[in-house]
Amino acid sequence: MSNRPNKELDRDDTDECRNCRELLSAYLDSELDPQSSLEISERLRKFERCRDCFAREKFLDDWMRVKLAERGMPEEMWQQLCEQVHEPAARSRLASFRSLVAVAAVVVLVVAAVGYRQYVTSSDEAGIAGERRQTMAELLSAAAPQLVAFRDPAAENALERLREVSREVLGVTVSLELNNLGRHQVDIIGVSEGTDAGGRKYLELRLNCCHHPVIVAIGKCGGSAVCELCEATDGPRKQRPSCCPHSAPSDVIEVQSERRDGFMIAAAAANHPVDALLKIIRIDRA
Amino acid sequence: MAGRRDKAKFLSLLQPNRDSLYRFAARNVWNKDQVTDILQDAVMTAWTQFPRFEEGTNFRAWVFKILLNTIYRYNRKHGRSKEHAFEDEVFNVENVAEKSPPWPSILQEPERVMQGLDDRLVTALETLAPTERHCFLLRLLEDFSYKEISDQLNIPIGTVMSHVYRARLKLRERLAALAAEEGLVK
Repeated sequence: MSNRPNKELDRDDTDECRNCRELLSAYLDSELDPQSSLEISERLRKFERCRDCFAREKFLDDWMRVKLAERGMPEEMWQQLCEQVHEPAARSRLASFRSLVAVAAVVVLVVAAVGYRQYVTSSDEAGIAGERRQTMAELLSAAAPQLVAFRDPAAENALERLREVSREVLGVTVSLELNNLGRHQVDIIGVSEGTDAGGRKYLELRLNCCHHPVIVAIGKCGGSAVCELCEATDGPRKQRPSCCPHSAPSDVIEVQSERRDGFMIAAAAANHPVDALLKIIRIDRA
Repeated sequence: MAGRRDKAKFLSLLQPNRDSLYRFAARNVWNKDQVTDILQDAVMTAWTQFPRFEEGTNFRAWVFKILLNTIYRYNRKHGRSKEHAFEDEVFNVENVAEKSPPWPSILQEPERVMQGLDDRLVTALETLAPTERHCFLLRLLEDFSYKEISDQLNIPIGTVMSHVYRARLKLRERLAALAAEEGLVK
């Protein structure tokens, strides 16, 4: 770098100043090699204009560092993350699931054929408690083997029961905004509490939407069975009811899952779209 | 290698970085409602991959790389990112460098002027292109070296240096313009 006088620099030396300005950024970050760093130091010592540039950049850096560092992670969120780490990692469990698909398919077939007729008729028993399934589609197939509407709609206080059970199970209030369903018609069949293999609770909701069976699972994010169900059915997907012994060739199970405010919501419907239903599920922390 | 997952060790390494991770996620996620989800996702990924973390290497850099990947994935899934909103804007470094913004006036009473701009800093930050913003925040707030940022973003060190420079330049000019708009300088 040249050491021309300040006056001359102000008038003619814009290229060199521009180069200096660019290097100033790296100089501020202590990222220049020793030679360049020495040159910039020398320049700052000699030229007022460069010193002004440096003062401005340094002032801005310091101010932004203070302003942007103001926010820290809320304690509640940190506790939530710690709690999440308690559980075996969801993904590795999911990987284990996939490796056991062949065995699980046989088991699910047997369970679906023998045990789940009772599951359909009783809305209060513990649904998928303790069971581990690969997808929401399989869960629905098991809960409604014929893939026809659930029977025995819940009493009129179903919405109140949903709020009560969700507060108990998830610590939040889950409700359905039935007014926003448009042309769909929903009957709540059952609300129950489930416990996954890791001992974590989740909410299971069975509905008929336009006389099609729907099953919804809601759990806290991080290592719950609901997480696995959601991850196994990432995004909207149509699936063949592979484990349903009575399904017709035209049967399709629509599955959709989403993460919302720290919770995983997964829903599966037989021969019916499920997106409208997901939209009316509301989770309130208050 | 860390080998078997050790929760206590993982959390003890994670704890000193909690505020940084939160701040970085909050500043770079398009949909602010997803900050919690992204952090949970990133932490679970780190926890799952913890057996592969090599002891003695930089945990902070490792976990930030996971967070960056998670943010990219969420922002992409969200369909629109901050960057698309502003990338069309032509920013001519040379023109800006040659302009004469009111910095001399600002520096006469820096505290008063910048206090008036407190709320506008985040707005100015959001107008940066994503890689510029990432490089700048990783350097300024998180104190990563250019080399570490280069490794995290898979870009050359020279590009990191250029992004940081451009980010500073843009922020400086936008804040000066905002100060003038607000009538904080004559």
